[in-house]
Amino acid sequence: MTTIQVAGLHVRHRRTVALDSLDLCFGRGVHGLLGPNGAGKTSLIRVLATVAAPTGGRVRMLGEDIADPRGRTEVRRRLGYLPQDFGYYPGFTVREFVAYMAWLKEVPAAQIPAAVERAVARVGLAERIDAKLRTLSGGMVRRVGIAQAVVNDPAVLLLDEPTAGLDPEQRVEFRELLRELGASATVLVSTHLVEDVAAACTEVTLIAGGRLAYRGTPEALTALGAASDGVGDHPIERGYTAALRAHREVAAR
Amino acid sequence: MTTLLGRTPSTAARAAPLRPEFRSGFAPLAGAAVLLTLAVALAVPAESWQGGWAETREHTHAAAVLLGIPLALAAGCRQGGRERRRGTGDLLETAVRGALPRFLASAVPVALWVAVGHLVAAGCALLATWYCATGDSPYVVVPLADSLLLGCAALGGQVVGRAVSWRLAAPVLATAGYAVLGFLSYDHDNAWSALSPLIGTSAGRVPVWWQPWVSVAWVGGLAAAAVLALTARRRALALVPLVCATAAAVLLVQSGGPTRPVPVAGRQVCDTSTTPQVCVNARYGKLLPQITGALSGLTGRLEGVDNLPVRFEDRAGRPRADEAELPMVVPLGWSVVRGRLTEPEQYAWEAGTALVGRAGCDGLDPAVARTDAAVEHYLAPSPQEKHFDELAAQGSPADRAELRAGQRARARLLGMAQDERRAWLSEYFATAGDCDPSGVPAL
Repeated sequence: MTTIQVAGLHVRHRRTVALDSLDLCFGRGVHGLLGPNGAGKTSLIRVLATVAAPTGGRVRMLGEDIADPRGRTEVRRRLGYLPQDFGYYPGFTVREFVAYMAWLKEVPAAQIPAAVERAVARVGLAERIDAKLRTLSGGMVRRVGIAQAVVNDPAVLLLDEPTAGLDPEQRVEFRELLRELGASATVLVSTHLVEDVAAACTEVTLIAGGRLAYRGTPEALTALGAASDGVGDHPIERGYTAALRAHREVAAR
Repeated sequence: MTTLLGRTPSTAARAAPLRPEFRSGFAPLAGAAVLLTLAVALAVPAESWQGGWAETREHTHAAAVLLGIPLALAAGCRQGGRERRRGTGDLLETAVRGALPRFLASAVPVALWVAVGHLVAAGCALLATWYCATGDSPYVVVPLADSLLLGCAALGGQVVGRAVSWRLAAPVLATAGYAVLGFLSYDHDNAWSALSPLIGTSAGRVPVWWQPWVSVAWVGGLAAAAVLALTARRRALALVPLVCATAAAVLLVQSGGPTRPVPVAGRQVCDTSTTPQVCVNARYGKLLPQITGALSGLTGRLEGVDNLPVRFEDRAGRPRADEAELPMVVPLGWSVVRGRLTEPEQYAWEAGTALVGRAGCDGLDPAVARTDAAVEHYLAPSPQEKHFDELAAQGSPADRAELRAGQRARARLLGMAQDERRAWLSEYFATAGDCDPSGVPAL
């Protein structure tokens, strides 16, 4: 079932085109969003997170048109978002910060305490739940960001570079969490780490120059890497570079 | 990663999600800053207001408006820029709750703490006056209204902090606020001065009952309009508080900053057992025993003397024909500090000179001046008399001659028999205030 439908999406930042007539749809599962720097991944995520308004095109999420204020509010109620630059209040504890975010998402007051503890436990920070955010490491802060994103049990979860700052063990645990979340929600993960995509995603979307460059499964991308002369240490990395080169060749014609 | 389903949330978890905004972070610091600023501003000249309720009101009000409001503006402005500094803007944009609740969640704690900081400072000032109050009664409406004004200023500052992404926005806003308040408050004859939250009252006048609240409506209306213009989904809603603020402003300007006389300031409390009687303004009524005590030597020496004023009076304006003016106890901090007469001898001497009443005479005859000085010496000598005598003794031959003449006059008055002196003083006081030397009895 499709939860996110993007049609003719166009995003422009002053003179720069970030997304150019993008058509996409996502359903339940974990979707990896790959692409080089400046490809438009963050622009897409910010539009889907209802933070930025598109210059053109339409976006429907969870059956609502996000251009409509009422529809946007309904989407936000069922949305989780971790921005690339995750801001937080250093004086708050983990519990206080996640509870504050739950309040902002209008999680019913009676459910907030349990929802907060559940979200914090899911990211493995139960032991540090009453620690001030200023005392946490960068990786832990990132996990707090994920906790606030999932505190409302979102139907759509948008994660922009979620594994930045996580150590290898935490990344493995995070992939497990992604798989768990993807069982019931549409999870869109923007990342540079293609091995995360290979391990946790059910589908891969590659964007380059604001356009769709490749869509398929991680297995298909891995197979593309095996069959082509892409650069990389891992088959899926070779698939990524091969798909990117192919897209650039087509775009150059 | 584990799950904690089924685990009972702790007490802290059940706490309101907004509690951290009130309990930690910048809001309590802003309140502490206001408290500290006002405490320092009030403490440095504490003797100039402590003990007088009107003086306490004036000083706390002036400090609250001229220092507290700019500080509240700056505190609000800094809090308003928090999301930009912390980079939480994107995250908050995805919130279900609208811009107004989000704004209030971060703005109200600062406004509340700023108001509490002021209330504590004003409360401490009232307590500091209470234990040494000299009469009158406290004016709690003004500090309460001031707290609301500071809260409104913090909200307004937060709007500016949200709208202006400039690092120096907070100090510049505070400076601009101070300049505007100073401009509005400086000239009370200016019609616009009524718009200043600084109420132009004196110790004997207080604002009419509605003035502080209309002033709050004026400032609060502006702040509310700014908040709604920034955050409301329907920005036209901002017109409602704006209309209220405009109506309040019109009322303030047309009424010209209305004040009324304090009834107690027009009354006196008197000790009628002495000659002359001693009357003190009822605002300082509790000083009467101290003043009567300080003047007891003077009044004791005047028993049975005729042609004296009926009383020492302490009202606004000049004394009546049968009255002498009581030496001033205000401004506080000079004759009276924290409810105590600081120099009773000096006070008694000043009262004695008020009885003689020739201070306004030009070119007074030296013999009359010598006689007046001898009477003052007899009634209540100046604490500086000895010092001036020593200076004269080291001065020119003329100074020394005048000193000797003065000392002879003092000795003659002191050497008189009691009935003789009483009769002489009665004759002398019949000429009190008379600049013509011919009628003044010589010594």
